[in-house]
Amino acid sequence: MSSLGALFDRLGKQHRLWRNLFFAALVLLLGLNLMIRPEEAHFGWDAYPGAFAAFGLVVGFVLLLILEKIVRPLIARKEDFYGDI
Amino acid sequence: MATSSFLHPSLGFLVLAVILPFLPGRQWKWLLLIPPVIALWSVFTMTPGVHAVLPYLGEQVILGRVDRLSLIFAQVFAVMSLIGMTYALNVPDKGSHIAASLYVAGSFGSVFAGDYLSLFVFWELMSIGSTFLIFLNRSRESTLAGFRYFLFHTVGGLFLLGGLLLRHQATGSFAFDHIPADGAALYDWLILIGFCVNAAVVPLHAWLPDAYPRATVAGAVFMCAFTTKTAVYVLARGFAGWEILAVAGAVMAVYGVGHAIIANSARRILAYDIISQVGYMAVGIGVGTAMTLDGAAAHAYAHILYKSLLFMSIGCLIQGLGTDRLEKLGGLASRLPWITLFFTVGSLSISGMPLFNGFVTKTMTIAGTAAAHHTAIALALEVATVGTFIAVGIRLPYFVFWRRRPADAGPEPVWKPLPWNMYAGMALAAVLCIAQGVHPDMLYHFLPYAVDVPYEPWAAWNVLQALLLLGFAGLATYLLRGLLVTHPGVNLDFDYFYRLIGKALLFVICRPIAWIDGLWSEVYRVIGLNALKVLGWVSAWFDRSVIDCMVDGSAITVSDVGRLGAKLQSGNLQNYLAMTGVLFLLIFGLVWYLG
Repeated sequence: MSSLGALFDRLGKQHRLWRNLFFAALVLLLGLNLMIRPEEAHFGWDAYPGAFAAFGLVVGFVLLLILEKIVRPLIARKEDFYGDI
Repeated sequence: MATSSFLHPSLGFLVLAVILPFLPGRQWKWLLLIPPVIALWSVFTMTPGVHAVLPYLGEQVILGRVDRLSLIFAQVFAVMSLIGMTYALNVPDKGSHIAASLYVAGSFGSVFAGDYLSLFVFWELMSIGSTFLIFLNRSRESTLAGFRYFLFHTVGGLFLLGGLLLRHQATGSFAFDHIPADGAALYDWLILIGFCVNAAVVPLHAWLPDAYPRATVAGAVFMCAFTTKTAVYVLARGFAGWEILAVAGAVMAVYGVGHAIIANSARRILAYDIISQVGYMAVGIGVGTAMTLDGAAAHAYAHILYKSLLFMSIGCLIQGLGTDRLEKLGGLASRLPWITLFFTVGSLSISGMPLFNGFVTKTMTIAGTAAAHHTAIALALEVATVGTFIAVGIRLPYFVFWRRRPADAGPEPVWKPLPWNMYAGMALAAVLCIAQGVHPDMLYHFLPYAVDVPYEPWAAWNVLQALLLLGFAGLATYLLRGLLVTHPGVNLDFDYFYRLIGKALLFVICRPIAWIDGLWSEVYRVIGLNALKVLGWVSAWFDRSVIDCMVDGSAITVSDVGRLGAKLQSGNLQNYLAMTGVLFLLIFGLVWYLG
């Protein structure tokens, strides 16, 4: 295994560290959003702090739930659905 | 008639395609790099204006319309051709390089075409070249996919041809210029449909995820860059400000990413994401302000770089491991760290992460759309941004590189080492993705339209907004990680309806033909066969009565003469002398009588 591969191997095993860093980064971003706002709120709601965080979270939830729970069961077929083509 | 300030970038590729079959050995591979280098030199030295105007059938064929819009697309095509040829350098199949060369030549030709005639010729050249990039994967699956691809693009080409001919009949001109949305005629709509086929506008898009995953490894890298982006160029040239394109683009952005999130093979995920990313460009063109048109051009540039990088990374897995199926992959980050690194650069770029080029182009398009008060469309693009990050920024790299390989995935495939040039191609694209992200001006400098207030991607709010959006989309994915599983199989798309239409067409065409064929068979049976019987009887009678009599008579005569001759040959010398004497007298008498 190359040194870069070994590094990736080590990083890949640090689940807890990555998760904690990720949560800390999210909190930091929300804190920054209290101070940094858009000059012009194009959507209206984006003037409020945390609006884009909520948007990303809600859209992520909705996309995954709709696609995995509703759309995929409707359109998934076996590999040979079209025959050998 | 090239001037000193314009050398058509297609030329080198066309020459390469012509001479390649005749070159022996393997050292010809180095020639593959020459046309891209010439194209780069050409693009950076050509002067704006109209070049290479040829008279043809009383029309002006313009092969070299050079302005800032054509230049930025030609520039990224030249860069991409260098990346692609570097990546494909060790492919031994000459056919693959010839197809790629014709394809790239067609793309350059389309970008510099100033009239519909030459545009159509180069447009079709692209179609032919790219079809062979699918065929040359040499499997039954790719042959059939290539046929469907060619069929669909032929239909698109016919729309374009019909539109340009009707347009010429109405206006007397083949000039390819901007068409105002107000008062557009039927022929303009036909041309638009022809362009939309290549741009993979939903629902005319299903050829793309059908064909791209089945192309050759290097072929897919070329294809992900040229077809849809050439279509983006012609849409920007001819249909800027068409509101319907903005709506179609928003639909593409969300629809494409929706499919990408639930697709099961890596190249199919990337193919669906092309539709989504081209949606951003269609929105920029449809909104039609200077900022959104610049955003569309910039995003096309960035997209070519990062999408080719992603296709190259996955292509390495296909070549080295033999599969890109998610359920069979996993745990490759430590085994293939450089490919992981290059893929990560591409996935962060496409996600619009700050420091990578997708960030400086995607946000520009969305900001321009919002500033032009197309709020709902801008919102759809934000939704697509979240979806892209989930599909290509998280799900795809997780399944391929970072998760532990599942025990039920079968025996671990043996890794076949790859040639250096494949890494070189990826490195080139990765460096450009980061360089443009860090220094956006190296891209913005070439944008075609002047804006009053230049877009500042690195403004604090823009960076924070991107990080908030992506960060919390990542949190949603983390919380719903139980939903992220692989599902072997295919997902239905509009190609289901294409096939239905194809079957219906066959039915509609075959039924009348079968009826006519049946009728003809009956007519033949009743009339034709009886007539043939009569003719046969007459022929037999003629044969027996006339032919046979003549032949038999001749045979009998020959036999009688033979028999007489045999009798005359008695073997007695006296008889022979007597007969000679009689013969002599007969001849003498005859000569005396005649004389």
